Amino acid sequence: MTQLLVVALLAGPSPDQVESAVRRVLAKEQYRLCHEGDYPLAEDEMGWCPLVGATSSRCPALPSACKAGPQLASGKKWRAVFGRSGSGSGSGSGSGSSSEDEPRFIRLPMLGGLGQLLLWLILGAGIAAVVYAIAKNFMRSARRSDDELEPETPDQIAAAAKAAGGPIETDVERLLARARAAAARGDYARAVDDAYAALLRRLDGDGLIRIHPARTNGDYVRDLRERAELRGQVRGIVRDVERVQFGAQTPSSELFESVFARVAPLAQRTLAALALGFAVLSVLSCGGAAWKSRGPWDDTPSGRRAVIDFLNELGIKAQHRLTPLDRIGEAEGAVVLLPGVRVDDKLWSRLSRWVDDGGLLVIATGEPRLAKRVGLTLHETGAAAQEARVETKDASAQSVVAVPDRRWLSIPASEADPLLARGGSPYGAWIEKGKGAVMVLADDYLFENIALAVADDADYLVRVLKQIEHSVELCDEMTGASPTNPVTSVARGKLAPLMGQLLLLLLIFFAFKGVAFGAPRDPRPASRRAFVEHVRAVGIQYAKAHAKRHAFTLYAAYALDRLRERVQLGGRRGLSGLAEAVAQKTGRSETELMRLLVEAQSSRDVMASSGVVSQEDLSLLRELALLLKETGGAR
Amino acid sequence: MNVQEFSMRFQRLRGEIGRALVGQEEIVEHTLVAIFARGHVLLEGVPGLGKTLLVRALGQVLGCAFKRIQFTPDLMPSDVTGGNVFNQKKDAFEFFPGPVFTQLLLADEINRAPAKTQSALLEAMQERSVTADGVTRLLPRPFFVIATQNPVESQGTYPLPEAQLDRFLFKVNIRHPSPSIEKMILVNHLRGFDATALEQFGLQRVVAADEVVAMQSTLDSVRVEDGILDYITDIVARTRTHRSIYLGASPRASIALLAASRAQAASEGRDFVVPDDIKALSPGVLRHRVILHPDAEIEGISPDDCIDGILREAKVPKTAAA
Repeated sequence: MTQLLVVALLAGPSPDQVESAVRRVLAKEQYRLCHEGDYPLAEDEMGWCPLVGATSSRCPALPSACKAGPQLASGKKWRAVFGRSGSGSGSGSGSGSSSEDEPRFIRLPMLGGLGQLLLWLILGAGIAAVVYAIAKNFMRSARRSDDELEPETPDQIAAAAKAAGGPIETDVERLLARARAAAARGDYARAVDDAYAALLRRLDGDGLIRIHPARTNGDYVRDLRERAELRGQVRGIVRDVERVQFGAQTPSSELFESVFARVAPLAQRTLAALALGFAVLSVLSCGGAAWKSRGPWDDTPSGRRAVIDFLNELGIKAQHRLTPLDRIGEAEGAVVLLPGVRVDDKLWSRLSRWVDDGGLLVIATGEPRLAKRVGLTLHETGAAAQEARVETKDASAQSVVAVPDRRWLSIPASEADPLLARGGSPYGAWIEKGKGAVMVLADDYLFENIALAVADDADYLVRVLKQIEHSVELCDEMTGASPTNPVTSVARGKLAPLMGQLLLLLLIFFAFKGVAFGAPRDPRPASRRAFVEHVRAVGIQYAKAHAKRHAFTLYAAYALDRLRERVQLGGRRGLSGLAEAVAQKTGRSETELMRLLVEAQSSRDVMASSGVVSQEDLSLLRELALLLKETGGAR
Repeated sequence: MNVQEFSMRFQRLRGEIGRALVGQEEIVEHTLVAIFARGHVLLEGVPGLGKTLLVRALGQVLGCAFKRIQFTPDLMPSDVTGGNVFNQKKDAFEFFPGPVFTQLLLADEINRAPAKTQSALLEAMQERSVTADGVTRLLPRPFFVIATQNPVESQGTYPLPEAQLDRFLFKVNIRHPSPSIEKMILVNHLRGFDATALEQFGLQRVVAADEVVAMQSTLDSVRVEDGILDYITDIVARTRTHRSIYLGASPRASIALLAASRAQAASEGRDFVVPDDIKALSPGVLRHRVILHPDAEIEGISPDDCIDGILREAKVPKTAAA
C-alpha cells in the first residue's frame, strides 16, 4: 500500500488543477475569511498566520485578518461567528468586548408587593376561569346526556338505542374487523356497510375525500376525480354497496366477499403508505446519514466545508458522517477521525476489521489514546509555529505542507513509516494493515478550511485521498450523535416537557371527545339592517309588482297627513288652510305651497293604469320630502 | 321494457340530441328526465343559447308531434287552447283545437303573455286536458310543455304566477357556453349544420311516441327505499324553515323530486333510487318553487344558494358518516 500511496502522490491531479479548484472554492462568498479584511480570527487560528505570508492570492483578505490579531477566544468562536452570520452584520461584532461575552437574560421588572399581589391574582383568576369552564362543560354534557337518555318505557329505550345506533366507529381496522364479525354471524348487510365505511374512513384519513353526513356516495366518488384509477375502483364498490343499501339485492356471502376483497387492498395500501411516511419521518427526525455542511460555523477558518467542497471539486466524494461508525459497511473509501469522535474498544475492533478488509483510516484527532492504539506516541510541541514547514519523506513528491506546530509523533521501530516530518520530528505516519492502511496525523490542521490557503496543503491532501475510489467520510463529535429512534430524538432535543404538555392537552381533548369546548351557539346574526335598506327592499317589491304609482300616491297621502298633524290649522280648512299654516311655519311662499299640495292631492286621485311614474312625480316626491323635513323631520 | 333497455334508449337519445346541441349535456339530460317523469320544463336563458333548437331536436328524435306558440302580450287563452266557433253550414258550434293539442309544445317566451293567457296552460299541464265551454278534451299522449323565458328583459313582461311555476317539474338555467364549446359549435356550422333544417343534418328518430309512453311506464318499477323518502321530505321541509326563504316548496315539489329521481335512476340503468339522484336533481326541481325574503334578495342570495345550503345540511340516508 505504501507503493500505492507513492503512485497516488505522483499520479494525482496536476498542481494547476488543484490551484484552480482551491481558488474556485475560496472565492465563494460564504468563506468570509477570504473576503473580509476584519474577519475575527480566534486565538488558535492565529497559529496559521505566520504561514500565510504578507499576501495571499488564494485568500486575499486573510493577511489583513491576521494583522488584526486574535479577536475571539477559541472557546467562544463558534457562538460569535454563528451570531454574526445570523444577524447579517458584516464585521466588528467580534471585537472582544466583555459585554458581548456576557450571557444575556430577559429580566422582568421588579414588582412591589402590590404588583406581585396583582400578578398572582391575575394568574389565579385565569386558572380558575379555565377550571370553571372545564367543570361547566362536564356538568353540561352530563346533564345533556341525562336529558337525552331518559326514555321512560322499554319501547322508547329501544327506539332511542336504534336512533342512536351507538357511537360512530371511525377506526379502519376496527371497522374491517367488525365487517368480518358481522359476516361470520350472517349479517351480510351490516358487513357490507362496515366494509364500505372502512374504505371511506381510510380515504378520509388520507385526505382524499371529506366525510360528512350530508355527502352522498356520488360526492365521494367525485372527490376522487384526480385519481382516475382509484375512482374507478371506488365507483365499482359503491355500485355494489348501493345495490344492497337502496336496491332490492339481498346481501349475500358472495357479495360481501366481493366487496371486502376490493376494500381490503385499498385500505391496506394506504396503511402501507402511512407506514412508509411514518418511517421516513422517523428517519428525518433521527438525522440523516451524512451531511455536507453542519451549519454556518463550518465556513469559518477552523471549519470543514471548504475542504469538502474542494475535494468534491476534484472528484473525491467527501462528506460528514452522521451514521454511527459501528454501522460501517464493506471496506470502501476512507474514514477520517477528527477531534471529538468517540471511539471505544468495541468500535476500534470494528474499525480494525474494516481496515483489514481494505479501508483507509485516517486518524487526525490529535488524541494520544488513539495514536497509542497503533503503537505511536503523540507529543505536545508547546511553542506554536517555530518549525512550521513539513517536508515529505518522498523526495519525488514536490509538495511542501505547512501547518502550525503543535504536536508531533514519535514512531518506534515498527511497521509504521514516517510520512511527513517537521524538521526531525514526524508529523504523519503510514501503517499498512491487512488489505488496508492507517494514516496517523499529529493533528487535524490539514482538514481545516484555512489549510487550503497555505502552501501545498491542499495539493497534498488531494494526492493522499485521490487513491480512494469511494467516498471520504469525516467523523467528529456529530458522528453517531443523531438519535437512533424518535424517543431519543425527543429526549436529546429537550422536548420532553413540551411533548408531555401536548399529551396532557390531548388527554383533555379526548376526555371531551364529541363535546365541544364551550357551548355550541348559532353564528352571530348580522347587525341590524339600516332603515334605508328596508325602504329599498320595499321599493324593489313595489317595482316588481309594477306598483310604482301606487307607492307614489301612498307617500303623497302620508305627506299630507303628516303636514296636517304638524301645523296649527286653527280652524282653517282645506288645502288653502293647510298651505297658509305651513307657510306660516316655514316662511315659504303660500302660492308655491298651494301648488305643491294640490299636486299631491291630485296624485291620490289619479289611478294611472300605466303604473309609470314620471319625472315630474319624482320631483314632487322630493319636494314633499323636503317640506316634511322642514316642518319637523322626515318621519 | 326494463330499466336496462330504458337506459340504453335514454343514452341514445342524449347522444343524438347532443349532436345538434353541443356542450349542453346537463340541460339535455334534465330535459329528458323531465319528459320521462311526465313533467314539464321551464328553460331560462338569454336569447341565442339554443333553447328552441333543443326543443326542435327533441321533437325530431322523440318522434312526437311538435308545435310552437310564441307568447306575446296580446295572445289570448283561446289562441292556446282553441275554442268553439259557429259553423254556419252545420248551424252549430264547432271546436277548433288550439296548438296545445300536440305532444311536444314549445311555449316560447312564456312570460311575455299576460297571466290569464299563461293560465290557459294550467289545466293542460296538470290534467293533460283542455276544457272549453264545459267540455273536457284529453290531450294526446305523451304531452309535455317546454317553456322558455328570458331573465334579462323585464319591461313588458308578466312574471309567471307561483301556481304556474309549480307546474314545471324543472327550471333549467341555460348559461353561455365556454370558449371551447363555442368553438365546437362554430366547427359544427362550418360542416353545414343548420338549426332550421335538422332533417338535413341527419338527426335520427330514436324512439316513437308510443315508446316514450312505454318508457314513462317503466319508471313505476324503480324502487324507492324508505330512507330516500325521508331524504326528500327532509330537503323539501328545510325549504320551509330556511331563514332566507319566505315561501318554501309545496308537496308537489316532493312528488316532482321523487318522479324525477326515478327517471334519473333508470337513465343510469339502476332499478333503485340513490341519494345522489335526489341531490343532483334538487336544484332544478326546487329553484322555481321557493320565494325569497326581500332581505335575502337584497343581499344577492339566490334560490340556488339556499338550496345548495340545504343540501349541505340535509342528512343523507345510510351514510357512513352517521
